[in-house]
Amino acid sequence: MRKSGSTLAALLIAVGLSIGSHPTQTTPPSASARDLTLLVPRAPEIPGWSARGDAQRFSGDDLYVYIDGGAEIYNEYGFRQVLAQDFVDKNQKGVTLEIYEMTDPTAAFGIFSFKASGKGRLADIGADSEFEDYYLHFWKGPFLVTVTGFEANPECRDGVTAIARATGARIHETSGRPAFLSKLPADWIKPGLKYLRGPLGLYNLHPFFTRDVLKFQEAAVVSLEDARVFVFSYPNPAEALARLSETRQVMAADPAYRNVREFPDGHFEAVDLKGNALYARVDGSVIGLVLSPKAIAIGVDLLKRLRS
Amino acid sequence: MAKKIGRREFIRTGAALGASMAVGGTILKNMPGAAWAAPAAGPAGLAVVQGTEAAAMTVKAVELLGGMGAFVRKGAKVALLPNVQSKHPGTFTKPEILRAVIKMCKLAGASEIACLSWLGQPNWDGAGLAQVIQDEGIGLKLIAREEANFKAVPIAGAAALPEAQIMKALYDYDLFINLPITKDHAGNKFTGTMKNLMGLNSPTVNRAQFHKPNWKSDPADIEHMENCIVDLNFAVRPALNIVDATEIIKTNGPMGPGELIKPGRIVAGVDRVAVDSYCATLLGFKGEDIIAIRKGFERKLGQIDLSKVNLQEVKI
Repeated sequence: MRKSGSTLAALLIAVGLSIGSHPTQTTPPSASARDLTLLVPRAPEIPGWSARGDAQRFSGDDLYVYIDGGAEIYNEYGFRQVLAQDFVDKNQKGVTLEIYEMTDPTAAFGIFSFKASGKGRLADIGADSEFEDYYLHFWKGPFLVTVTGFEANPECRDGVTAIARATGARIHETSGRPAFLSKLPADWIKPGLKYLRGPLGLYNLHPFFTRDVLKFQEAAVVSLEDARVFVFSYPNPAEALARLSETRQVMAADPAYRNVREFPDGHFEAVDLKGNALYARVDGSVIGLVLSPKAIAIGVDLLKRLRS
Repeated sequence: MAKKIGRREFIRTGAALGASMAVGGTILKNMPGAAWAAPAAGPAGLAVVQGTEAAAMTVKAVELLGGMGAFVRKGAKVALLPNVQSKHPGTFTKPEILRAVIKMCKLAGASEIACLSWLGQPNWDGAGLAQVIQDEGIGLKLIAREEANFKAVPIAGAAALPEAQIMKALYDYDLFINLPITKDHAGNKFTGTMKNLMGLNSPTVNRAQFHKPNWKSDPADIEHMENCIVDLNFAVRPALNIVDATEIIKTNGPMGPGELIKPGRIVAGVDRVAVDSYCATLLGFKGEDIIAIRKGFERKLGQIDLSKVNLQEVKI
């Protein structure tokens, strides 16, 4: 790596708290990005709360500055820019608003689904929303909005809701969930469903492999009572069949799986190290895979419900 | 959610600190830039303290390891590496833990103490650690991200990262104490002592070499990043690791907000693999489930099998 000779000049050292400057916390948004400051609610819209300090904004690769080590999942879905603004009430209780502009509404839905637990209460803000213990997520158009209260008390919770609702009202774009989800039975579309766009999201939900073996375009993961269902989408049936075959071969060679058994039409079953039964098959251009602590038959029945 | 430290807690902490320093121990030299040799688990082993008062728990954990004097010799210059990635609850090292460590270092006779970081002042303000630094009168060295501020450290036998770029300011100190919080991480599902050392490495290298530009299409990237984390741990060696496992996020890491869980523990030790292996259990994993922990053990960085570690668990 290249070295500069001006070490001392470049090394910023501050003793105690007498710090003259520090790494920048704001980067200009890209030309194609919206002005996110227009989505930040003003005082009249959020009675009792006011902005504290300037908003921080980061775009493109500088998301790494804002979320060092955690930017990859946003990039996997498609990230454009983020704005973060603090608010306080008269008692100095704090709430932070984060507005993530993703590349498209599908990306916004995806990162919302990744972050929402499915266990919170619905907040009726944006296209989908969830209020968990001390924070609220919603998505609307290409935006994911997260509002966090820093104290678990009613005032902060009310502030979180008010700021989220006012932000949602400033977003005028609307859109539906990804068309791919129409392949799933309607009763699987529920809070807790995860929509994935790449291997990192999948690895975080279930580490089938450390390599990207499945190479899907889109995927959905649904947790049911006795099983977890993974549905992976491909450009065409031939590609889906090829991926299923490679998945089976990799599992057969991986000590993390045993009893890998292929059937004549290409579907296969296996057992993982934790004793979960695994069943996978192709239906048109999708692979359905069911993981269950119970019998393979559960997977067989569940995948019959997919709409090819 | 994190509780603010109060006057009564200060008093209790002070009393506990006095008791801790009476224990003492052998003085070790832990030069950050010294030739690295894989540490044994050490006679101190792994200390886990469960309770509700983070400062007192921190003091007790260090006491179980022989007291801060076992790690900080009189006159030593000490660098501290807390995690200040985000201000969301359960994502940063609690201020009362940092304060307790600073007080213990002072009582051990440290001549200079400073926190080092290439993250900016807002991170330190938001996490509440800037206030502790100001109260305690220690240094906060914020290092600009330019390459000139980092020193190349070759890593012999590296699996993925042949050369680390460690902040030069670290080498102004005799030792450093690693103060991570353990939590969920969207990259590799877990973060703790080993991954926290990325806070000493150049952020440019972290981005370009740990998280490769083509990571989405590179099939081995998750494993690559985990290998880089282990490699980095051969470039720098903390004298001691003290992990905040009091209140942590189980989802949406590393930045949160996410589901908070309260293991109510401080975990301390020299052996990073053992510390991380224990912390992984608090998030529902075994050490072997996390690639970096497994590879750290395979490369003899430390012990993954907690039954083979001198594990001291106490409740206070």
